[in-house]
Amino acid sequence: MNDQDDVYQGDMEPLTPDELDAALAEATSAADPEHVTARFLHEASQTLRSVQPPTPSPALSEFIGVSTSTDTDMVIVLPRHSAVEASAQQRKPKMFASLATAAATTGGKLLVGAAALVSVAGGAHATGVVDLVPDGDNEQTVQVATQPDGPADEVLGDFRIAAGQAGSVLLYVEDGAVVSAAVSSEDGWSAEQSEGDEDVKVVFTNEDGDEVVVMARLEGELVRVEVADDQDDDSEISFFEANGSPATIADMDNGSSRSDDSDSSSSDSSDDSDSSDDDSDDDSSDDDSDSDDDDSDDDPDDD
Amino acid sequence: MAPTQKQPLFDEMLRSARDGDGVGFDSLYRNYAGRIQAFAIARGAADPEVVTNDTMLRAFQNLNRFSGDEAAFVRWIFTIARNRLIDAHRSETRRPVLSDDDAPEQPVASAEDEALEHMSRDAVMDRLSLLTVEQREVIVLRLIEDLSISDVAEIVNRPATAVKALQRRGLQALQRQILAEEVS
Repeated sequence: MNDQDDVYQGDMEPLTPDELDAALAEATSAADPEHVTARFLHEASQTLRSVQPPTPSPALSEFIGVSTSTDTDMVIVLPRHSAVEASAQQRKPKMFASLATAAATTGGKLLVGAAALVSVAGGAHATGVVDLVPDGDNEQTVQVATQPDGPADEVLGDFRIAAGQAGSVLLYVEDGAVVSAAVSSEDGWSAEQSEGDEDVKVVFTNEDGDEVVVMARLEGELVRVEVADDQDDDSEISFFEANGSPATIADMDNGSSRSDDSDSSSSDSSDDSDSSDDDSDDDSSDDDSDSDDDDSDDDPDDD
Repeated sequence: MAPTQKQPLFDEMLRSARDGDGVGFDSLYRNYAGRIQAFAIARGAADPEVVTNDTMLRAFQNLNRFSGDEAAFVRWIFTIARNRLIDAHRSETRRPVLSDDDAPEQPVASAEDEALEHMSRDAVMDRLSLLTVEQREVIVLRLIEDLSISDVAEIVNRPATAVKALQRRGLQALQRQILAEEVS
């Protein structure tokens, strides 16, 4: 079902910079349904985030009412997002728009949430994100943030390379070389980075000895990014233009060869097999009762 | 994820609550109850306030059994919420239907703002309700919390690949619906 959407990213026709600009320019327009989808996601996010806590029940009030502090105004309110995330939040509507457009135009996939909120170091003027999710067993996600307004001679583009559950690497191209701007690792993972003259290699390892390696280098005028996961014994290779746009096949012919070892990603049958219970989920939500019977026995507070 | 600047605040909040300080509990409630409530509403809870209060109460009662950072706490508390929602749904299907006369009196909406808020929320819910509950909870968790696929997978107790598939299909369904609305 919908397998036609599951196209290896190298075979997809990516948005050209002009198309991306147009999508972003139209982000505030209601003319395009895909953009309306993006706007709806943004509105839904805002609406849900504005929900206020209910009045505490008497049982809860017993907890809340007991203060050992002399200053009752010392309630701690956590910021919902860090500074970088907040910056990304401001771009969210446009990102949703570009994501929706990418899905509609290229057969890419919509991605919402944290993964879509790419934090771009030095990329406050970044204007869009194209999400390219390679299919298949490999879960690596490649996201490209473009900054067409940026100083082209200095920094041409930012690349947030997410490697499964290990973490992510922020890359950019500067002075003819790929440079790593930041590396973040998820809980349980550590990252070691080595940077050559023209390439970047980041090795993520966890306590179990699993390893995910992100390698990026320039090949001709293209940036070649390889993410290798020893758990899957698989690697994903992608090419991007130095300005952050996903490379087209024509670009590859001109700029570099492509070692396409990711044929398995042409289908996400593995996704479907994992979620066979939702094969009919294009239907209405009337099947709530069925779904609710699956897995409530693992309440973490009932351990 | 690398600790953010809010981690020390979270640690302080948690320590305070574990020490039995009401300020700590109040802080936890103010920071998370609204988000739980939003999740409960979006997931279609019959009584989201009860689910929210129940979730927070369970979390408070079991706070000493929790260990981890803020991200782990979010996963933990949303897992509790989800399980409470499932239990509530089961209870709901077994409960006899009350007549209007028997129904408990609901708090009266206090202001026009609340009506407007509900109108906007209803519009969002109308579209979200077209999704299956599995699709909806995945998308809502990502929308509300910006959770990663792996975090959502942990909360909904499904493989990450299944979560990705649910997300994709949910978004496709939303897009189809919006296209259909545009055409009509």
